[in-house]
Amino acid sequence: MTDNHDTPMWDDPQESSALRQLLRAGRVENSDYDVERGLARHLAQLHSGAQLPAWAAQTTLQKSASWSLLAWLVPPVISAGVVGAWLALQPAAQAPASLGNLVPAPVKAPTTQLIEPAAVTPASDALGRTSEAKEVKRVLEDREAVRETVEANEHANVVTRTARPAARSNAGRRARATRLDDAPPSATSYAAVAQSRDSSGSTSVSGGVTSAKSANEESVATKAVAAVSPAAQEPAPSPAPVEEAKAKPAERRAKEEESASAKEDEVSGARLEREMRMLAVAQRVLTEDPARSLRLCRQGESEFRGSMFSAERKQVALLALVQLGKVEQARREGIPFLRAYPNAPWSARLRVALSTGKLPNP
Amino acid sequence: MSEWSHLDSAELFRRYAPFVANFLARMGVARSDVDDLVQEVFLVAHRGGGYAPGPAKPTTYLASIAFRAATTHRRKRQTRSFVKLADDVVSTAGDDRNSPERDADQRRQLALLDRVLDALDNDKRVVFVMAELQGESVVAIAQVLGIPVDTAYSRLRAARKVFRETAEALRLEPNSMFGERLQRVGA
Repeated sequence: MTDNHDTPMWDDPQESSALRQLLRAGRVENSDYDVERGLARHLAQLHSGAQLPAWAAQTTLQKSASWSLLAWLVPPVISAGVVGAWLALQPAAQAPASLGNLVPAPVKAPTTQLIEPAAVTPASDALGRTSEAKEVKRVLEDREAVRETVEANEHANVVTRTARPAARSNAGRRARATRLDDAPPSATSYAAVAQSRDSSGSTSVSGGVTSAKSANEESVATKAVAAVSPAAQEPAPSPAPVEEAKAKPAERRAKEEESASAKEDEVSGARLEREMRMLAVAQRVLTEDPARSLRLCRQGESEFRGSMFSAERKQVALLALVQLGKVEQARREGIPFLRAYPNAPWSARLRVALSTGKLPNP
Repeated sequence: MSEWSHLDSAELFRRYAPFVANFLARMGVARSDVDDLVQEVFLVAHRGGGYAPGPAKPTTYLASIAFRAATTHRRKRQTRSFVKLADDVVSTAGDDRNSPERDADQRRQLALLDRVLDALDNDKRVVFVMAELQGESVVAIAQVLGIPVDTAYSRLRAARKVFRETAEALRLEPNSMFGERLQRVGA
């Protein structure tokens, strides 16, 4: 089979004979359309001044709508440009003061509190922004679905939350210990250690020995580095970890690695449990709420891509598409999928659903 | 001056209404709606000033209008189950009272063809139908649809791939409910 566009498939000897026969059947003029009757109706429509169909009139409206949209967008953009140019032309010395009057108070970080749909939708509808209202509703529904999923997997999240900080602190402690182990014994000052690991530091530290002359300069320079480099803003560790690191670094590393691997196993188990629960919820709500089922499947696929439940999740998503009435899309995705999994436990059910456009009883 | 330069509205209709009806059927329009959409297509063509001679043939020009009509039509009927759609499309292919010479095998082939075409989305389907079934050049298709030629080639290549896979999948499932349905309708 070639993809030579100049040779039609029905005439390509490399195509199968069944395929060519199928295409030849479509090339024959099969329509039994009654031309004279249709022409009479057509002429009657022309004489009566029939209106254009909705889809053709819609195209005209869309063209005019694009112009009205431009009329709405252009003035604010021009105004913003004028204001921006005016601000840019102000003297540099006055800029902070003038900006201080214009710039609003700093925006607080977004909280986890969700906006209630009832508080948003009526106002948006009142302004005639139905598309915006629908968008807000959709976002809120998605958030609600995610929140429900998170609540349903509370245990998994708790384990994950506890494991991550522990692993992070272990990693950070291990990194500090490594740095301290590599440092020369005479470098007992944390400032000196910080300067030696900060490549941007300009103070002179050589072999861990700091000259007595530059003691004051060092403290000033340390402050400067701390002000510039975020890495230098780490809290100074107490002397205890330093001594601990010197005493038994190898044993401590081994223990940390063991605990880290145990935590990783626990996290992996929690992820598996979370994935199974998401799939179970998606299957449970398949009939009553296929949209939610589809959302859960897609979220699961993005979160656990290529996992052992990927195919199972895909068939649930296809069934949800069928239940939503998107049979054509389901068939488009489902036929190659069924070829890959012809004899899975759920293949027969999926095949029936794609054929009939209805979900069979499980 | 081409042979189509002086086509008035009635002549355009008389010559190309069967083509438009056939094209709409291949685009998945049900039999009961074909006549209405044919009327809409020729009404839009008439209001738009009719066919003007140019690089596009009258069939390409009318197909571009029919494509818009079929797209809107399919969007409206998305909630229909595909079994009903298959019934309609099969009957579009032929009516024994009007065309007794068409045998069952031809109807089965057309029904299967329409089911395979249903696996394509509208953008790929129109390129495939115009190129493979109507014999239009890809350049003309791109010009009429208002898309780059490379895009038209890309869609045709993708449509051919999906067409092959779907036809093969349907052929491999003769005992499925769909296969039985086709045999019953075609018998």
